[in-house]
Order: sequence, then structure tokens, then C-alpha cells
Amino acid sequence: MTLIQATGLTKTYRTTNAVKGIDFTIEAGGCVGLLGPNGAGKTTTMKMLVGQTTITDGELTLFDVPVSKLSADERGRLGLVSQDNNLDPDLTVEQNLQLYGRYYGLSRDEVAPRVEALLDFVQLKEKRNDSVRALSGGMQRRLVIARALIADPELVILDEPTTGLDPQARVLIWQRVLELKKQGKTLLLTTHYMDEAQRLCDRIIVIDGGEILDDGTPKELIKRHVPTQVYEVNKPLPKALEDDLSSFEADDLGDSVQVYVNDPKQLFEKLDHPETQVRLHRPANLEDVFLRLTGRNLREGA
Amino acid sequence: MKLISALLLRQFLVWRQLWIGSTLTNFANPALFLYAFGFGLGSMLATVGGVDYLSYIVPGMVAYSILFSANFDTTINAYSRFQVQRTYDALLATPVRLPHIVLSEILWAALKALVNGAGVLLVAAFFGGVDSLSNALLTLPLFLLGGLVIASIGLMFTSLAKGFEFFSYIFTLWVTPNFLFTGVFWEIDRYPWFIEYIAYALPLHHLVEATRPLLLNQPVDMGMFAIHVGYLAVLTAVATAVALARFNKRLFD
Ligand SMILES: Nc1ncnc2c1ncn2[C@@H]1O[C@H](COP(=O)(O)OP(=O)(O)O)[C@@H](O)[C@H]1O
Ligand SMILES: [Mg+2]
Repeated sequence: MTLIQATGLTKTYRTTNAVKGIDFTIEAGGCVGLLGPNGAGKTTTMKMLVGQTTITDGELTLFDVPVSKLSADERGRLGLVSQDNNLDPDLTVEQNLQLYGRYYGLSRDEVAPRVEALLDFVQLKEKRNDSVRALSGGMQRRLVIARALIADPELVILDEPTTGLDPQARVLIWQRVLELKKQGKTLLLTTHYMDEAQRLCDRIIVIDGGEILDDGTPKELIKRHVPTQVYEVNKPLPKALEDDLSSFEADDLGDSVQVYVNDPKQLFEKLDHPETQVRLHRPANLEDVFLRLTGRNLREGA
Repeated sequence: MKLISALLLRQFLVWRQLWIGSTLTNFANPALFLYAFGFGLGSMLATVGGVDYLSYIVPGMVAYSILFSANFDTTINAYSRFQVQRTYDALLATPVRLPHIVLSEILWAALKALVNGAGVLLVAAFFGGVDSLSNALLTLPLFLLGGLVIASIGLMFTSLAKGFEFFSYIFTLWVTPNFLFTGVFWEIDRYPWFIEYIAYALPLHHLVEATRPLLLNQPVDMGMFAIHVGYLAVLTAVATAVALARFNKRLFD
């Protein structure tokens, strides 16, 4: 079943072309990642889906309905974990959830058991009567996730769920996201963390400058864009390699060079003391795909 | 309707945490004015057009508390929800749409202003400034309309505001003239002609003129009454429409 279909989807803010005519389809089930550096147009795409901003051009349907024509009930099948923790600071943790449920048109009695279950799900039971101002960044993020789930949506959109969190807090959120996947919800997630995308997503749409650069499973993307093995060779490079560097795919990292090969023999022929000259060996990953596709290192871009 | 009542519930829950402070300040201010002007100035003037001065200023004092309360809720408070707390963004990710937000902001501010205004009427009655209690009850729907007009105009200002500084201009150029030049303390014909004309344009003038004969137990000129009420209703509609259009542009474009 097709949940989301975008055709020539375009968004222009006054003068900024944030999304430039993109096409994609998202089927029910699994987790799709929208991966791209800051300013790529990820949030804008999500806002168009959710109805927080209008579409400038093209078409976008959700549940086979153009997003501008969604009924209240159809909107209720969607939950957003927004990039900003725009929790209601005038209310307690529990009230944030209760009222959000009411905004979905749920009755007080319908909301009550869900609030309990969700406080449990995001491990915030002891904080229920605290002001949201008193929560740590990770707790606020978990509350935003719980809030998005209050109407038990089939589609959950998560905009950078772990940006700015410490490693423990990130792991906790990953667990919750994987749990949602297990429950059979469809997830659409944006991130600029490769490890997050690789860990959580079944399919990745790489986006930069408002355009889709590629779309596939993490494995497919790696296979399509980079040789399988990565060797980091210390500088100064051995003469043989230096002279023949142009025949390899390589990135200069400053005091070393990262060389990509499918067949290590090719590289080792050029090295006289591999054990000291090779600093690091690893399989190629999404980060390498990214470098190839966007021509920049995401971690710096962030 | 369900969604608007959910939004009103949110405002109510927030208000409930702070209601004592909020209610006291909203009462205390006009009550002090009533006392100071009613007894202070009133003892010098004795009567205005045959009416005891304290009674004369009661409608203006109620209107003033409504002006203050409804304006504050829909300007500083609403702007902080809109731009600082980003509450509107969070709401727009749910089935709640912009008209629900705009209507609930205005409705809540008007209801709260009415409660505050009714409180001032009570204080005035206690001081002996209300001649007819049954007529005072009749003015409540008018004061609700007054709250609606001030709230919708306040929200219109918010939809235009680029920062909090804007609201200090609003205070000086909107709230103060409404308070001072619209016949709260004396008839506006004492002012030069241009101020008189400005007063005709200001909603508080019409609110005070519409409620004063009722509160003073005087005959009501139905033609004038209809003009006052009609003008307030039209202003409410226009300001609400402008607020909707501006928010629409700022939030969705
Ligand atoms: N409300 C807005 N008004 C004007 N420009 C915006 C607005 N929101 C985003 N942009 C611009 O649109 C581009 C895409 O932004 P965004 O969708 O937030 O990217 P991402 O979420 O991938 O970081 C950026 O250049 C950003 O500056
Ligand atoms: Mg973003």
C-alpha cells in the first residue's frame, strides 16, 4: 500500500528554493531515511507532508489524498516528531500528552490509558508531574516522541530524532524507534548521522540542495557508489602509490590518504611496508557514499 | 468545535495555575482607578450631566479592564506562543488548523476579559457605583463583544508583529488612546475636534457609549445602540480576517 507519493514536489520560500521538484514513493511498513546535510530540504519536505507549510508546486499525496485536502481523521493517522522540541512549556509532562490527544479529537477517557502506556514506553513515568522545562534534552526528545504517538498513528515522521543528544540518550531513542518498527508502524526519519541511518533505515533517500541524489537500501547505495574496502594510508605516500594515485579512488585527509578498492591486491602492490603504512582498514560505509554523492563530509556540515 | 474546546481547555489549565495572580492584577488596577477617580475626582466634580461621578466612570473602568486583559492575552502572550514557544507549529502537526487556533485565542481572551470585567462591576457595585444590578447583567453580553473586538484586534497586531518591541508601540498608540480619549472619564466633546474623530474610530468609545446608559439606568437610543454594536461586530470580523490571512502567510508560505 502506498502511503506517500511525491511528484515534482517543490517548495520555494520567498527566494529560497528549498525543495526542487523531487519524486518519491513510500510504501507502508519499514523505515525510510531522508539523509542529507543541513539545509538539504529535509524538514521542509516533512512540513509539507504534515501540513505545516504549503506546497509551491508539484503533488504530494498522503493515504492517496492530496495533503491540502486531508480530513481531520486522515491527519490523525500521522504523528510528527518535530525537529524542535516545541513542547508546551506552560504544562506538565502528563498534560502535554493529554492535551495533544485532545488536539487529535480524542476524548478524555480515550486519552487516559494511552498517556499511561506512552509514559511507560518512553520511560518518563516518574516525571509525569514535572514541568517540561525541567527535563533534560534526551527526556524532552522522548516526550516529543510519545506525543507524536498519542493518536496511535500508522505513519510516524521523525525529524532528526537524536540530533544534539549524548550517546546514551541516542541509544535509548534508537531502541524506541526500532520498537515502533516492530509494532508495524511506517517510519519516515531524517538524519544527518550515517550510523543512525544505517542502523534504523531499510531504505535511504539521499537528499542535498533540495534534490534527490540517490535512493536505495544502505547496501545498494554502498555497492553503487564506492568500492567495498577502505584503506587509510599514512603520508608521505610511497613513491609507487604517489605516482599512480590517479588510478585509485582516493580522498586526501590531510596527514593520510583514504584509498577505496574492491581488490586489496591492487593497493598492496604499491606499498613496501603495508603493516606501518596502512593506518586503518574498514569496509566501505554510508559515510563514504555520502562523501561521493554530496562532495562533502556531513559531520563537518552539521 | 471539539478541537476549539481542546484549545480552550489548554488555556484554562494554564490559567488555573496562575489564576489568583492574574485575577488580582486585573481587578486591582481598575479598582484602584475607581477608588481614586470615583472618590477623589468625584468629590470635586460631584456630578457629570446629573450623574454621580463614580457611577459615570464605572462602564469605562469595566471596559478598561477588558481592554487590558484581552489585549495582553492576544498580544504579548499570543506572540510568545506563536514565535517563542512555537506552540502554533506543534498544533499544526495535529488535526488542529489555523482557524481553530485563531478562534480559540480570541474566544479565550474575550471570556477571560469578561470575567475580569464582571469582577470590576462587582467592585463598583460594592462602592455603590452601580445603579441597576439587573441592567448590569444586561451589559455582560456587550462586554463579551468588547472582549472579542479587543482580542481580535490584538491578535491582528500579533500576526503583524516582528518582535516584542512592536507591542510597546501598540501600548502607547493603541491601548492608551483607547483608555484616555474615548469617554471613559468625561465626554469626548471636551477634546479638540480631531481627537473626537479619533475617538469615534476607537472600539472602547463604542463599548462605553453602548453600556453607559444601561448601567446608569438611562433611556437607550436604539439607533445609536445599533451603531455601536454593529461597529464593534464589524471591527471584530475584519480584525479576525486580517489575523487569519497574515498568520496564514507567515506560517505556511
Ligand atoms: N521558513 C523558512 N523561510 C525561508 N527559508 C527557509 C525556511 N525554512 C527553511 N528555509 C531554507 O530552506 C532550505 C532547506 O531547509 P530545511 O528544509 O530546514 O533543511 P534541513 O531540514 O535539511 O536542514 C535552507 O536553505 C533553509 O535556510
Ligand atoms: Mg531540518
